[in-house]
Amino acid sequence: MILHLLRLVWHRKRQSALLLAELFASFLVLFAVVLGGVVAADNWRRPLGFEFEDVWFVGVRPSSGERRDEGLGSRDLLALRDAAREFAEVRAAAYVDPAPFQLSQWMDGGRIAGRRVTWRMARADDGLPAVLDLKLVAGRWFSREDDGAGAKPMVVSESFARHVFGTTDVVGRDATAEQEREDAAPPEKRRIVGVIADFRQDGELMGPQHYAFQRAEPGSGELRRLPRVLLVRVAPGSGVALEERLLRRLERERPGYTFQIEPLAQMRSSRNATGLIPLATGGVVGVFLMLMVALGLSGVLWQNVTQRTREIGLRRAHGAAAADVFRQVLAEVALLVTIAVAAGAALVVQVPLMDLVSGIRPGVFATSLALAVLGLYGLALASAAYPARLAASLEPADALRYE
Amino acid sequence: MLRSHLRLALAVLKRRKVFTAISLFGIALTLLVLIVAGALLDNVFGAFPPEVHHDRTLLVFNVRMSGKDAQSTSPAGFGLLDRYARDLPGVERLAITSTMREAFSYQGGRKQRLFLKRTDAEFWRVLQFPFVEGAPFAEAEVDSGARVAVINRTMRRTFFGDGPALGRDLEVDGLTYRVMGVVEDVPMLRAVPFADVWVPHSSGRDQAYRSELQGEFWGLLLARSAGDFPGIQSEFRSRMQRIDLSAYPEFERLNATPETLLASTSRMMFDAHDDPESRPDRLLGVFGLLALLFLALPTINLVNLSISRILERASEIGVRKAFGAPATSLVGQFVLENVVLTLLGGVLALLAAPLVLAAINQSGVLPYAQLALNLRTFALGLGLAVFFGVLSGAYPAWRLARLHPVVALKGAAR
Amino acid sequence: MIRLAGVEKVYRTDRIETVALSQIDLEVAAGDFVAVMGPSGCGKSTLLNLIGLLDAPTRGSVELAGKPVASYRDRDVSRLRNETIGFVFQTFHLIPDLRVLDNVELPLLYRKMSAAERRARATRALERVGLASRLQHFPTQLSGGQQQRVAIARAIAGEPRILLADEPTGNLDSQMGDEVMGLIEDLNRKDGVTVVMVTHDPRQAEKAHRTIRIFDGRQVAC
Repeated sequence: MILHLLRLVWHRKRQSALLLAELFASFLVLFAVVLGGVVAADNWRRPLGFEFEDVWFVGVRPSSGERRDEGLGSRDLLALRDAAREFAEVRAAAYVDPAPFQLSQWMDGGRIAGRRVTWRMARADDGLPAVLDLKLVAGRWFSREDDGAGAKPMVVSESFARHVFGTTDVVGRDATAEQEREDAAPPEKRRIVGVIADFRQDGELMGPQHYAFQRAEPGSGELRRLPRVLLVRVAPGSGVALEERLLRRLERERPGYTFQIEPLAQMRSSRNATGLIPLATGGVVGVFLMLMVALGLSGVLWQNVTQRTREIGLRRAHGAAAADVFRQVLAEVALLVTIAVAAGAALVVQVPLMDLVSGIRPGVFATSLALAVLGLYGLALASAAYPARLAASLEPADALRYE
Repeated sequence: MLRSHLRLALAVLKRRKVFTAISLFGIALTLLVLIVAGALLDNVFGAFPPEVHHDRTLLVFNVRMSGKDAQSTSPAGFGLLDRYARDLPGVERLAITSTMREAFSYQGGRKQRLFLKRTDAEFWRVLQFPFVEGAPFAEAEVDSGARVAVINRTMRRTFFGDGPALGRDLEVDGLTYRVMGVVEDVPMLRAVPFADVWVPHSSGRDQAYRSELQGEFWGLLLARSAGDFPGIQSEFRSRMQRIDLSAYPEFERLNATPETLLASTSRMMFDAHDDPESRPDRLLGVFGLLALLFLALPTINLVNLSISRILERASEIGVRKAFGAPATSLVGQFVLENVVLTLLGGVLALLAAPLVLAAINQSGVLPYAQLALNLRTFALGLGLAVFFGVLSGAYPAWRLARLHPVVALKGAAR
Repeated sequence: MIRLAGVEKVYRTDRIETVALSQIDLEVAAGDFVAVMGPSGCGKSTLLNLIGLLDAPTRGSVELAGKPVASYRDRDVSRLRNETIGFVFQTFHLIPDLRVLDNVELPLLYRKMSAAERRARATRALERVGLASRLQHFPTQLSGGQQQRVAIARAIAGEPRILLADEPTGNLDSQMGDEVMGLIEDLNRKDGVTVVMVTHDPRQAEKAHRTIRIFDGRQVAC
């Protein structure tokens, strides 16, 4: 039967080619939309690695005119942090840069222990775990112990540790990047002191990326670039009144500076809303495109059936039951979909094979592929159902007379 | 002949109602997406008030400093614009405005997020904001660093209710400003004029920004005419070459070019900050490519439908050929038929577009958005419809016009 | 008016060759009326298609109005067909979406001609076939005989010198068939149009000046 159908498809190759092209393009669109949705859903249900409720972001803008790559003086930072800690409602305060849900990101990368790795990073002071409720998996956070240490201390995420070392038991290991060029400056010596649960700075929509913290405790030694964000954990229920009081206090501490306070929860919702706009737009456009394809397909198949009335009549005359004709029309469509999907899948599989997009988990990719394949079969068979019924309902005598 | 073909096209479309409806649905939806995208781009890059001199304004957005191992790209510093962008030949006015910045106000015990710009007095002359009340701040206020502000209508309602706001106090980021004027809301899509609150650049806490080469300012150069652009650009670029960089040992070069918003955006997207040429066409190319990519699936869909529609009339093709219709004339006939169809779809899309745009305006996704169809987007819609019609009609027409007349007459075309 | 010399037509598909016509020599003088008869599938229609330049011969030459057909390029044959030949088909082949008048104007569309003149000529052709009152009807509103008369009007609207009719009465009852035949005879007699007509019906063939018989792709007797 399949051979028979293949021959039919081949015989009508020009029309089949166009239908195949349409199914192929639809598959790519469907896959892209489904992949976007599955990636987002998969990311959404994973833990953030920190607690954002009742944590406020305090942006610190020193007076301008200082060169952009210079940070605030350690003394200023300490004074401001102490000022924040004076408040009874402030449970903890710590510096970090960039902060969670902030748009900026720092990338770092290199070859460590023979493995190439790129990661997102932030600089933080010794008190960050108390503010963000970071979950330590192994080792410890930065502390006074690290003052004057020969190698810079580093806290890495679980995925970082597993990717580079294959285990989370990495405390004390050397994480210095290998020197890759002769003329480059010698790389900074780094040593891992702790491992935290995967940390997702951008929030729920952030894909799987390795993360690492470096120590930036004001006053602990020479630091070229100090953080400009103070995070404070406040008592639950603290509101605008406290924000304003805190703001005035900080302004009093450093009169030339500008400060901005925003709860992380608020930054999170606007960040997620922004992140969902392309997804929603793509989804709406994708659904419309699929609807258009479904209608178009059923129009074309309908015409196809009327054009082949004679062939169908002949089959009926030779003893094919109505159900056989119905099945044949569907089977022909299914065959076309199979060819289109095979070609489409062969193409999209290149994406992970050639490592074109990092940050898509294999399971997510496979799920999306399966959903897109099922979706296209469903779409095409649903559009073929009406024309197939029409073909099956043709009376053999009428069908043969038709011309 | 054209009229006869047009009449036939309409008759065929009327008779094949299901096919026509299916085709129109796809066409209208496709064109609707493109028209909405076009309206959005038009709103970002086109000429709208208050940018009344859009066609003769050049913008200095980014300044790139680069050396062997270091590179820094950032909006221009006030110092660079103040010292090197004045008195350019062919330039009537220079306006300086900061980029927009998020700011907070705690006025009345409530917290209000807003967007702030710091500008000079010329800003209000290069751009013509419609004032609801009051007036813009002028040189006197800017020179003295007065804490005065122009706010938009929405901020007036937020802070002062619907009454007049002139002379009232507004606290932003811990500083108190006196309201001098209220203007109509400007959409956030308009990067250059947009803000909620505008204050003199000198009204902040410190004055160190005045000497910066890189910072957070944009320059607006109002030329006498667009014809003066090349001269202004080359003079500006040569002034940039002469800037003394001895205070920045890691940098050897500084580049900046006054150009249109489209050209600047193109420069940013392609990271071509050292390119002496303005290449807005590159960005247009990207938009065109995206549109074509988006059109691929609808086109194949419509091609399939058109082939089906025309194939049903195989015997018509045969008869026309028998009576001497050359293939070119048949191609023309069927392409025309397709164009009629896509134009109908285009009209439907243009009817639906205002509703979609109004929905986007209402949704608040884009603050103060005033998306609407104008003559440009309308023409774009019709142009796209014709383009789409020719694109999707050419192949079916070409293929079916080449049908062998004998085969076509038998109606057994494959 | 029409001369075929050593004409052969072979249809090739992937594996097999079918000889549709071979060694046809035929001469039809101006003003002649020739009937072509033969069993189904003998090649009658192929012969008509070759004369009508709808198909090119595999071998041999076709000469129309004293000029050999040198090129079968689309543009050249289109013009030749348009100016010298009118077709009438068994199944009428009217365009259902066009009114009667527009159907008859069709051959004139492909000439440089004003719309008014097209209209005038098409109206005249329809008057000639006795359907002047049906200009604004659609083909489906007419009887079979009337439809075939519209088809004849279309064939003569361009005033061709040759009329090719492929079983023009095949789909009509005998009364309507006679009406249509009467029109064709009239055209031949009064206007001197050369007619070549394929038919199954000996009664209609008798009305021609002479009859050609085709059997298995060969001309058997005059």
